[in-house]
Amino acid sequence: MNRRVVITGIGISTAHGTGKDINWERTQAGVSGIKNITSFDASGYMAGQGGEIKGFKKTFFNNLRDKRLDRATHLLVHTAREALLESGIVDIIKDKPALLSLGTTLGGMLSGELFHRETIAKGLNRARLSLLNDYLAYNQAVNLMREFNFAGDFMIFSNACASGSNAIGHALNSIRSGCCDIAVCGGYDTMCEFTFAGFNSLMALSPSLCRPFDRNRDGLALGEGAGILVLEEAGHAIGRGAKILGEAAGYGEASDAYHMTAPEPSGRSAALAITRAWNDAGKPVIDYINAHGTGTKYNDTMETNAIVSALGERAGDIPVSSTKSMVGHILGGAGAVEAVISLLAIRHKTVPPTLNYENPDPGCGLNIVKQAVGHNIKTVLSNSFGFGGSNAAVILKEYV
Amino acid sequence: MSEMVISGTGAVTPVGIGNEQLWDHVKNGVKGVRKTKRFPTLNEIPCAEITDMDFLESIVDRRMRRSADISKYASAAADLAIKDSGNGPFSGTDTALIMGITHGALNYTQAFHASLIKEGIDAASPLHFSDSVLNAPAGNASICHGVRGPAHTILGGAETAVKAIILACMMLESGCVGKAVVVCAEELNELSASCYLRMGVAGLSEGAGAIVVEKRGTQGFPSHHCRISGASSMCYPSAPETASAEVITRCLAKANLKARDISLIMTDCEIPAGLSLDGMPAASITHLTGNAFAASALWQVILSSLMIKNDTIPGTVIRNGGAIPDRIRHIMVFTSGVQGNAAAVVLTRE
Repeated sequence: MNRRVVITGIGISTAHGTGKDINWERTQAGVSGIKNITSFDASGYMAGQGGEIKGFKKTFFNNLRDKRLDRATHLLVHTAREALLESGIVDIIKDKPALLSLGTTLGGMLSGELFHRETIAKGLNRARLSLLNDYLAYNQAVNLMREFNFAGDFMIFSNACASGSNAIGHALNSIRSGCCDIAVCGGYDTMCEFTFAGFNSLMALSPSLCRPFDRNRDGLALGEGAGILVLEEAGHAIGRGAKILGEAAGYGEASDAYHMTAPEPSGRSAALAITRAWNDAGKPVIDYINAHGTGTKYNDTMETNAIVSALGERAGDIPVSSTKSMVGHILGGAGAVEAVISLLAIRHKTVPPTLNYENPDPGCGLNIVKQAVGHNIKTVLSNSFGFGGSNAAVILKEYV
Repeated sequence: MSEMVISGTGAVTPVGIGNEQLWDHVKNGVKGVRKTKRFPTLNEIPCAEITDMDFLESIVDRRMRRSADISKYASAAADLAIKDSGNGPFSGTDTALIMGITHGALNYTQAFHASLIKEGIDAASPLHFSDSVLNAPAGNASICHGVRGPAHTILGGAETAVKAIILACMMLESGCVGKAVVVCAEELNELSASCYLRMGVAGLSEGAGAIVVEKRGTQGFPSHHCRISGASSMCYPSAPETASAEVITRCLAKANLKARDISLIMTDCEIPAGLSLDGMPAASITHLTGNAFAASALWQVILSSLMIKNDTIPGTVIRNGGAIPDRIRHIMVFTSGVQGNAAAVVLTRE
């Protein structure tokens, strides 16, 4: 069984704001959402900036009680609501079992941090256990299911920065294989000091500006956010008269088996993930690549090698951009947020820009797009690579 | 799923390490749960610890010497399962590694965060951070064994073990890989043990389990333990009882079995009423091994696989008065949680 899978709803929350309209407006305008960190004191770190969602405190709930819910649940539910409402599927998933496939690296780490601080300050037996209600990652999935009276099953991927793309790929494969007709998929992560300090300890944060593929790039900027897509079997979506936003056409994955934090320099496994996705999609012409593009020395060189290795001579002509330069690296949410941006790029026939790209790196000989440019985009390749050597690629297409 | 088999198992448990020792110790009712003083700030508490760390040091990749315990357990269990399957190599792009995790490397997570809070930014160790990420055990195991196919970490409670098996079977059915190593792992942690004690949960455990899942006949391998004839997983947060009943019904349907065909149910949970499972013998090894969440559920799968292979149900694991059949045909491993998540898998003798 190999069924076509279409996208009928999208939701996005990033440092650009919440909602697809504001996100697209600021993305195509090349606005930076990277600002001074305000959710904790970042003054002692090598970098003091990141992509926080400044105006977002909490969402509203119909069925959940918001007491003690982590920011991750608020972000996830808020973003999912946008996607579910657009898809018109809120009432359907109450009765028809659907898959919830999510990626995250942190789950409710903000709650975990708070609890741990209390144990240090007050002792093991004095910290509030209620802070742990929403710490583990699957709590957010269950919360989402509770809020929307969602019945079915969930799968939570935590494959570092590839998690969101893995979640989309699993949803695609589950629908194709007939396991379900509807899958709500994507990823999310919040800004927290634990992760910030971790990337700081690895010397991976940019002390200046995040400059993907630039010769002078010196690190990444962290971000927070969520991206959600509603995937459906094409016949199911057409049958209920849903508006189809695009097609999930291909997915590929592979592992480096090389190093916990460093990518394999030749990019051979990343290239394999891209090749598998491209083959899976029926070897289409790629019109735009939304790169993983973290802005670290190692990643961007490796990703260039992988793209060239997988796509051959044409690789140098395909427009490439990294939207992480605008909203930061959302870790487990990155692949999903970038899939949503890729879909918006198809809809608006515009390649988003890469901010701060000024000095081309001879080791990154790709067609990096500096400013938004109109382009007849029909097919997008979105890459995600992560710690532990996780590599994933997703191909999204215009639905015809 | 009818073509999927378990061709190798590996267990790193407080009761025994490796199939043989686990089987012998379970048969003899050896208990891994003991009062421990491992955690200096807690009083003596009942926990099940891995004490034979020398064994782990000797078999894992040298690069893993400073890894978190959970990564060591995971890699060691995978190593045992791979050797048991006797159907190498597992390096390369044709093998998937699926890791089920409930809490992850809590000791390194706690150490990293504690040093950040108490000693400042510069004291936070990059090693603690990189090995605290939830996919570190899978990343380390894939590095150790050269697995270049998909390496996934999936999160959840005990049901995650069954979900990992389902994901492995999906990958094998789609043809994207030829073999899959399913691993679940957990490590003991002072903070976690203290929290669970306050919630009334004692007897936490640590270790890992691993199974090799393959498509029958594709590799021409000589033998396997059992067939995976059905599996199902669901989550109904608003109706946990419905989830449990439905997951068992679906699992039986996938296996093309009736409830009366099941020889034994391995579970720590209440078996839902009304499914013709009343009086069925129920068993568990958790009272011996302790509770390591997803890893415990995979230990139940591993012991079931060994029971089918040896055609014996050790009396030490029986939980009720159900009549033990003369011959084991099908064992169901079932798990459910208060949040409405439930999963079941049926293992079948060929």
